[in-house]
Amino acid sequence: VNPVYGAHGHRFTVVTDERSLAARAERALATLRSANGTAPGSYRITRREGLLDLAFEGELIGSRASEDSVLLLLHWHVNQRVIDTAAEHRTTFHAAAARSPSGNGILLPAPMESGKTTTVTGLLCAGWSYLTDEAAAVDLDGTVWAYPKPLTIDRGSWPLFPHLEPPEVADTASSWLVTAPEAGASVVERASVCSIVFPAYRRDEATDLTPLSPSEAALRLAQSTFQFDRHGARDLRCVSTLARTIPAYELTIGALDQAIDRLQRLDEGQANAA
Amino acid sequence: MTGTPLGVQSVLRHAPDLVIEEFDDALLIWDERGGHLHHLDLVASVVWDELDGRRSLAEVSVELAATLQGGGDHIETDVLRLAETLLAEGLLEPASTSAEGEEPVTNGRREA
Repeated sequence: VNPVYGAHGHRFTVVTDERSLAARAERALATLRSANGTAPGSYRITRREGLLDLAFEGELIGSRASEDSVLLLLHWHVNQRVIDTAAEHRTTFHAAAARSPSGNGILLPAPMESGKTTTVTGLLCAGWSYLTDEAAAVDLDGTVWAYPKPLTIDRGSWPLFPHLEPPEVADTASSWLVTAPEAGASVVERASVCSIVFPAYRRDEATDLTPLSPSEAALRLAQSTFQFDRHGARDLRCVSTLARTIPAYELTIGALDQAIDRLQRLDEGQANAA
Repeated sequence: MTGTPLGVQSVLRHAPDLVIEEFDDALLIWDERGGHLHHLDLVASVVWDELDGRRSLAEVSVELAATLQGGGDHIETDVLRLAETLLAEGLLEPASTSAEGEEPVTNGRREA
């Protein structure tokens, strides 16, 4: 029996005769195991003329030459489906999210290559719990719902987390897929967002945490919303409400350890104030 | 009908189907028909609030100049320029003909 995985209504199985690949997929998807819900769709990976074909519900998604690449393609497709289904029901941000040991949620919205995954991985290594590194669905009251996909740690961040290197990764791989438990962190289903932090990795700049006005935060949140054009009225209300009620900051990341220290102190301040 | 260009006697109002969120220093406006999100800074927000579909741009300018207490030497030009932009973006629409015998103002796009 193939395990069923899912998040935000996208449920699926992964079927392949490639034993090594099946084991790697099962390991990487462990935090997306799903017990209940609608009938799952089926991903199938087959070997053909030296390539690995990935299909969903019988339709070819793409072909790749290596296990690493076809796993990344699988995760890319899962991401698209999860984002589509999540955005139908909730305002969904291109964001990472985590929960501090004191229970405060943090939302980290940012475009690609800004440091979302690196920042949230740093928080997990510091004892925080995991919600997502890619897509955060948020209610009007500030509840953020998990999409606990494996962390996709790009090559440029590997030196920061050498202890997280997975087994069986080829030298040519572009990313590591690491689950939160492999990073020593637990996964939580949801959290209440207590701070919104827009990370921006800027090499050679000083690490700094700068407050943002509610209007600036709302605008940036809107720009970080998946499918805003389809749900504009709902999403504008959500981003405006969040921006008015939750403090927001820009985090310039020059050095990761300093950035994590800033976020820890921010969380401690909120915990003490509460 | 092509209409006349926007002038200081034009009377404009907010377009329908806009979702507006007000902040102390800005407005965010979602244009449901156009499918665009607009950001108006503090100054533009003040002008926006005055465009109520009853007063001309000239009247609005006089009022804003009085509020600014002498700081509004070029205010009529600025109001007109902003109104042109917002009209072109579909956030404003003509409220009425500007004067008897004149054609309605347009947003610069010719109608078929």
